[in-house]
Amino acid sequence: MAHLRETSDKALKLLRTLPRVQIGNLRPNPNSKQNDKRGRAQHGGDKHGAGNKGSGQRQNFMRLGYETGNQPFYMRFPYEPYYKGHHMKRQYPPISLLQLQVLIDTNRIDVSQPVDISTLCNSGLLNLKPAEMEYGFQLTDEGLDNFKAKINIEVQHANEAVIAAIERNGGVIRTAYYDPRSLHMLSNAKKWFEKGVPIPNRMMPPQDALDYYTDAKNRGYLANPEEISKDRLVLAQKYGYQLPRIEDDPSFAMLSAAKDPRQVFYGLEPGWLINVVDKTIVRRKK
Amino acid sequence: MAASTKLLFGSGLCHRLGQLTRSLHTQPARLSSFRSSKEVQSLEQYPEVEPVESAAAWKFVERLLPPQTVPRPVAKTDYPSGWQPQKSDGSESGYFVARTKNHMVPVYLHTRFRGQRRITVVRRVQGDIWALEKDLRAVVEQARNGKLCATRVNELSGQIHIHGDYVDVLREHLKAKGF
Amino acid sequence: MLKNILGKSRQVWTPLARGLSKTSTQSNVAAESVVTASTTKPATLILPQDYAECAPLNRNATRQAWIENTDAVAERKVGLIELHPDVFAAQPRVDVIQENVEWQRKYRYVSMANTKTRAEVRGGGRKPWPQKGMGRARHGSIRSPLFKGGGVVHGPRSPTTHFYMLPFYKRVMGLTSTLSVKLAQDDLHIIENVDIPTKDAQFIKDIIAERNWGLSVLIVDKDFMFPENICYATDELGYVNLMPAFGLNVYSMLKHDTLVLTVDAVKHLEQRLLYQLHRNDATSKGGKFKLDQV
Repeated sequence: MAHLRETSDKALKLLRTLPRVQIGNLRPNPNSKQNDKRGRAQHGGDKHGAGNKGSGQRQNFMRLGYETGNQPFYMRFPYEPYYKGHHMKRQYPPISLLQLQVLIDTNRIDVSQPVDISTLCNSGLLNLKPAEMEYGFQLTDEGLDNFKAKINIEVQHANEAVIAAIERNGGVIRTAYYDPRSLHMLSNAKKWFEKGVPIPNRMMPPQDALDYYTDAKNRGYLANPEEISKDRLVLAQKYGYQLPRIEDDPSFAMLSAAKDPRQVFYGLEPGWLINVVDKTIVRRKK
Repeated sequence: MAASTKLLFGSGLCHRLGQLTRSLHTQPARLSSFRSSKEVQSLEQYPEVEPVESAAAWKFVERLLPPQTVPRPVAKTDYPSGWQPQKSDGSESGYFVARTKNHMVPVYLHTRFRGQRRITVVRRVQGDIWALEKDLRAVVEQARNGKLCATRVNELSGQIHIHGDYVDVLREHLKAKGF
Repeated sequence: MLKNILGKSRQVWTPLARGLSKTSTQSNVAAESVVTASTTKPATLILPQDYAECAPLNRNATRQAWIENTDAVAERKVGLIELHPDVFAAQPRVDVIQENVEWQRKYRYVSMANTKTRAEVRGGGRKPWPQKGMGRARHGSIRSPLFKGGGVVHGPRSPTTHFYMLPFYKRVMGLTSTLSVKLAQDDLHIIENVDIPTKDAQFIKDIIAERNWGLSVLIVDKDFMFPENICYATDELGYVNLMPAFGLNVYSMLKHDTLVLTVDAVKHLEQRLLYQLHRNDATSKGGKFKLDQV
């Protein structure tokens, strides 16, 4: 290891010649503490920096939007329900293909296993808040040209270009719906296992999401697999690349791994109870 | 004593005591309270269980457990994202810019005054910080077509502040130098 | 034999005698007598740092420290330990140490200073004199803040808590800074274990005098169960205290002049602090402190 004359080395060397650092001789950095008192005497007690007279000095500002008697701007126009039901809308926080590639390059996610929400959340860099109506990740097309990983990924929303970018590299992409409870389990699986509750079923998508997830163009998890394989070819022709044959791939087992529509975790069936401490799995006797 | 205990049981007081505790448990309680959880019942009430005797199944659980510390990057032939592992240890340049714990180059943008002031901050500089400042200033001035650039060095905390948004330029420069 | 160790260690390690200059002549003399006394000495402890686990972010030269014996008053070097520079040679942020001390003082402090308002002072319900016609200033209560013996406006009200949490990584930095400062100022000593041979407090007093440990000593081991002997020996001495590694904090380290760590405690502290510096879910520690967080 190269020995550089580092600043901390210099500081520690200097400390050897100084008196012992003790509770009694510590003080905060100069000017780091703000004095929150205001002056009361002749000049310090003048206006305390609040200006002269009026709402500025007395801090009695008009309420927001009030126009001193005019019909306020926000009331001038008839009602338009722009935000009707916005609190019910599903949100899909974006991750880009560039971010995904960085995660792969820095060994934060393992592409030798199928990637889903829990893999992304376990990287420690991405976070999902199901309580704030976040229903999973959408994969966006930033860094699409530099994406080179062969990956089996499951996201909640993806557009055509992204699907093409993944499939061009011999990968597999699937869009799947998770209900908030399943998302909560996936976003921190370890913590959820510690509750000691059997794994529940994953719910089916609501009515307005059904079209999206049954469409082969979106690689929906409820779409007909034959239509998907047909659409893979169509997309390859549209974007002009040779579709790699995943059937001949050495990692075919990984690439073809998929969850059941009622399954939350890969390989773990609903009803199983995971004990992380004893490293055992328990199920109901048949 | 024994007699009184018998009396207690005989009179059904014990039964009523049990009822009282049960009512305590069934009363609406705060979710964080132990009372909100269900009482443990006798073993017959629960279904019979059996262990899943499969090592393959546990593999799937292990996959879901996050790593404790940030994993080290593995050596690869190329990194398509543009990220690179640190190559230089600073012995030839006399200074060193350490990576963050997430293996990223510590160059950041600070915006102040509602985006009016943008300052590029290079952190975690060790060794001869003044030599690095000179190098970075040359790079920034080239990017500014020869115009002068203002910098500020904080040797104690190992930071260099550069006026303006040159995050991408400096990050690429530091990566090219192997940091 | 000691010369052997010294010779060997010079070959093995780069000779960076930082913490050694102070007592080197003294200890050589003392050690000779011990060597002659006990022929069956255990093998020397040479504990290198495993950088494969956690590469140092810090390009400092590594720190090495002697491991001292505890079985006799006389000082004998039983080994050499390499300390991780991220923990024991970190930037000595004295300002962060001060913030930690202030936080440790304040978070548990509840001010009981209290004053009565005009409503709480006894009496004063009746209008002291009529509004008009007396030639006196109008008043509604003799407990108004204008009156002598009246209530106090904006006085201190009890209980006032001063609780707050210092950001998590400032607390971590406080620990690494303090350990680094203690090592740099020769106030950190490493002992092999806490198994002293006697229950006598005089033994501890002698050790402190012999080894030039400061006036007050904090002895830290990994476990919270200390052996019987050291508990008895330090019980009467108010200035020698025992602490498990999980309780180690900035305030206690600074309150005591000398910090004495066992080898186990050093390894434990390094492992815990390096974990905090490299943990995968560090962002979860960055948020605002909430009272109901676990």
